[in-house]
Amino acid sequence: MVKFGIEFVPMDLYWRTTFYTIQAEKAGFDHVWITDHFNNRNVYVTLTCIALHTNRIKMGPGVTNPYLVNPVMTAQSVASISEIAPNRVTLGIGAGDKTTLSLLGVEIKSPLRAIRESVEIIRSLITTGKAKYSGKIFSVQKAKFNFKPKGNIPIYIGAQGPKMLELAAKIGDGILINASHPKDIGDAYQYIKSGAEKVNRKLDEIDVAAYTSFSIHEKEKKAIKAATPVVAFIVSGSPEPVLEKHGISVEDAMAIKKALEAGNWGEAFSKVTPEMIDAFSISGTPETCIERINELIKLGVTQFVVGSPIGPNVREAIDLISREIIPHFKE
Amino acid sequence: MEVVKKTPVDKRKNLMTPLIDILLRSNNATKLSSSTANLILHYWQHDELTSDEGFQRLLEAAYAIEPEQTTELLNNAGLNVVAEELKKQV
Repeated sequence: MVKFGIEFVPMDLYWRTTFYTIQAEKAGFDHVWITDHFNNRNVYVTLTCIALHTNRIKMGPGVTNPYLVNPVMTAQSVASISEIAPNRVTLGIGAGDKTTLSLLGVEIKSPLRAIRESVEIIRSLITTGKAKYSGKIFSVQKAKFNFKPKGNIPIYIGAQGPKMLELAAKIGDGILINASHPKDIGDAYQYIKSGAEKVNRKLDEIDVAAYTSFSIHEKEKKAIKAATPVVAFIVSGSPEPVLEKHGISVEDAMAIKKALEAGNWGEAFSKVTPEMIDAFSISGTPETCIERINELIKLGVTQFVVGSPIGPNVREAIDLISREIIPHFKE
Repeated sequence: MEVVKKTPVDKRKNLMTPLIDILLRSNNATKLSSSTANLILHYWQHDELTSDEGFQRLLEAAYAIEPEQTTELLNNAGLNVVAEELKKQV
């Protein structure tokens, strides 16, 4: 049975994010993912508050990166939260967001190797409390926790490109695919399949999560309006092949990017077309959303993550999902 | 607690969501103390926001950040006395 996840960006006050998570837990969500960017509230502080105020829902950073946070510190953070909420903590790790990292002068070097090495270090620490590692990017001479990590902490890898998807299938307990459209998820699944085959892994050992941009409302127009700013940013940051795959012209994407860079939000959002909304989000009425989620499940998705903006009003959107969406797939 | 005792349970249930929306939508939310916010989370987690204690905290929290909206909400629900009591207390 498909699992449901929800993403929150800790831009908002800690108690609002926690409030929504409690609501999501009551609504039947299985998982909450908290984004990790230096300019928002700290992901682990947010997760700690969530751990203290929830009973069942699983939680984790979605996703952290090894460039800004050393893998040893990531292991220490998730292991500490796992003491509060044993067997409810997961770790999402990826190469990171180029735009945000470049603001700090941090370069994304050898992302595949960085992720592989990080996962190996983290896995050693969260399972044994110890790590000794000599990699090309990370070295740990002798690390030992003064506490015993509690509970199982699955590692999910945030992936989009073919090589990262293959790597994720080889070494991850789960994969967070940053995409909403069946074309992208279908393509991603082929790389996941190929990666798993190379190491003789069964696909059912891997939780394949579609980390979508999602917006739901009983009135389609309202759902689309809420998704438009998010889609504008996705389009402006998408590589050419991705745009081409969805029949979106590079010129149109550049026009949005220029308007966003100039701070002309209205202009940027007005250039977002229905095709862009369709390509980069799941937006609409409950019926539309059910149809789109079904398509992704048929392609192999085992966790559906409701990502930003969720809806024009987050509380109402979670209520709507709990009434119309989750029961459709779980009952 | 006197304020809450003047609020019938069925009205508390009807008022819970609009009061929550005040907290979630207000631009003055940073005015809410973390101790009150933590209590709200506790009562929300345990489905006790309409209990005597939980509803009291919810009313206080909404009034602390949006006094006019909260008063209007209570008045519209025919709870003018509660609104007045709340004003004296907070």
